[in-house]
Amino acid sequence: MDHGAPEKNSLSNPDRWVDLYGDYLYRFALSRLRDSHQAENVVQETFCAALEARKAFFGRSSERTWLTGILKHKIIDSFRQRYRESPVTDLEANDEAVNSFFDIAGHPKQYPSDWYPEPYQMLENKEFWAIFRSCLEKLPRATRDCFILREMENTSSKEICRILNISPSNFWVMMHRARLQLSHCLETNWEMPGHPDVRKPWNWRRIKGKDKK
Amino acid sequence: MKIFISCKEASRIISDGLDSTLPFSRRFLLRLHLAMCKTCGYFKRRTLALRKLLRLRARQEETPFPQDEPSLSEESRARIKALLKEKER
Repeated sequence: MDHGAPEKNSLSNPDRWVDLYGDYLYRFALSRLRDSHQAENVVQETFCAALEARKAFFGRSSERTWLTGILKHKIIDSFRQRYRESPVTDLEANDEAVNSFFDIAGHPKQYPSDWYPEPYQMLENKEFWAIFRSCLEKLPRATRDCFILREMENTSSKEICRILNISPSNFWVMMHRARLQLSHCLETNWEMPGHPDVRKPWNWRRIKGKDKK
Repeated sequence: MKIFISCKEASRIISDGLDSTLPFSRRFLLRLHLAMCKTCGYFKRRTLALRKLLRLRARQEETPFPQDEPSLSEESRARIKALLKEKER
């Protein structure tokens, strides 16, 4: 299966689009929307829009990049639609959730360990992504979408407030809650010492050159 | 003048700092707290690492490798193909 336009700067036959890019676009949409039905719709809309805009494709980017650009717009539209239909309700719950991580004095109920996911190492780790996905699912819907839009789509806070129809202070609390909960969830579910992909910096320096098992 | 903040407040500043430019006062309060609280440092590092990971992932999505992950169902494919054929007329 090829990745990208077979002919350099021209479009392939729309008949082939679904076979060439359907799965890729679907996976992308699913990773953002977390709803298979909406993801399918968005992929369909993307192909239809691309068909109409065919003539405007100047071949400056690869075919897939072009389609992905259209897809991203459709994904944002889908999010907007989601919150037009059902406004956010879990705002107060976020305040409580944040508080639940701390005691009365503001100290963490559970102090975080020094573990962190080393980016270049974790990138290819399927186990990690599975855990991350399940942690993400534990967040309430709007909070999750807020986090996804911010961290995976690099949407500005202003734009997110518009899409979700929330105030800036709602946004700050959502992100705070999401980060606290994800941090906690990841640590809890990830098995640490001895795992080959996890290297705590201080530990690594000590075992370098030594035969530690 | 208040110069000591709780871990709860610190975690909030850490989070806000990822999405906005912090005013000097908040940055200062956080720095002071971090100088004394290593666990908040762990939270900050973990949060930043997650952001970096997700950004790397986003970049990687530009050139994906074949994976055994969700795909469009046969039915959806057929439906979309048929729809495109319709529109081409």
